[in-house]
Amino acid sequence: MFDNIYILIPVYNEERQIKNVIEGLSKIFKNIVVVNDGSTDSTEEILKSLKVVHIKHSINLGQGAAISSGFKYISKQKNAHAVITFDADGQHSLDDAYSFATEITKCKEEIIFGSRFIGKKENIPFLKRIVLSIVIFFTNKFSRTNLTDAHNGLKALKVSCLNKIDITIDGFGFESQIIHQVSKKGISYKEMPTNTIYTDYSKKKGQKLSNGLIILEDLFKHGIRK
Amino acid sequence: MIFKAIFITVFAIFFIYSLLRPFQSLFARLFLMIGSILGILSLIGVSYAQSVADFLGIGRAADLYLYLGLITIFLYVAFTLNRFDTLNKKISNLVKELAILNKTDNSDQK
Repeated sequence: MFDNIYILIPVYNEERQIKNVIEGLSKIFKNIVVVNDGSTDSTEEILKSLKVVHIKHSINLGQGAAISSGFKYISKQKNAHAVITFDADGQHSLDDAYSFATEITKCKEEIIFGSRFIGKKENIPFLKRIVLSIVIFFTNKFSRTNLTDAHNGLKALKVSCLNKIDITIDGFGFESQIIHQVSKKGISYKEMPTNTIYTDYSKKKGQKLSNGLIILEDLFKHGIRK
Repeated sequence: MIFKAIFITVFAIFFIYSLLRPFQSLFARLFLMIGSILGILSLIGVSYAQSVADFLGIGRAADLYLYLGLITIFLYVAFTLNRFDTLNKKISNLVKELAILNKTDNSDQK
């Protein structure tokens, strides 16, 4: 059982999956922080019955804002060594979370990015793979990084680097913003393979492919302002 | 004739307003000032506006107003979107701060 590795789950309308996801994670992790980003279904009631720290946004702001709130909270916890971000729709595996937790406690890098493109990538839908490749290409160009995946919700960050990262993009573009800041501030990073489980539910709940354009727009705006 | 007088008065008020109002940016003050002067010029004599158009190489006074109108619309949209962005950020920060303050900790629940 990891007690100094926090799990951070941003949640928006996940009444179908959230209980299973948290029950699975709570077998491995003692500290689970859930940020309910203004859900309008019964997610809030479910969260109240679970053994988690839960932070509730009164309105829906976006995944970036949820992650930002979680980071702010976890960075103030005295026993926190690292945080693992984990999606609420059940597309991440518990084995990956365990591997990330084990690795972040012993590696020298401050961030571990999850990558769907290392190892087997047959399970990534074809169209998604193309859109992701475009977003990864531009993210790498903007940020001068050499990552194989840019928008994987599973990643591990040491608490020491949380204060160096300032997420100002409330929407999905925050992932690219993190990468941009990691590169700019010289934060050390590495990648680890993840096994993403694409079910009908997770495909429906996950990012729409057209969001790739919004991500690129955010990235462009952010690039200009910095 | 009465409408001409009304419009001249309105533009004159805008001009005085642009001189007296404390603006955050000099650009906004100049924009209102120049706009109101051009408004007055267009009313008291087309030849004045035509002179400005000639000076700028636009050709016709009517085109000068068309271009200025378009620039005004685009600038207004850009400034409004920027203001929305700033407002969104403030709301976002407020919601996040409140959420952390009102967090619920059930982790030690039996």
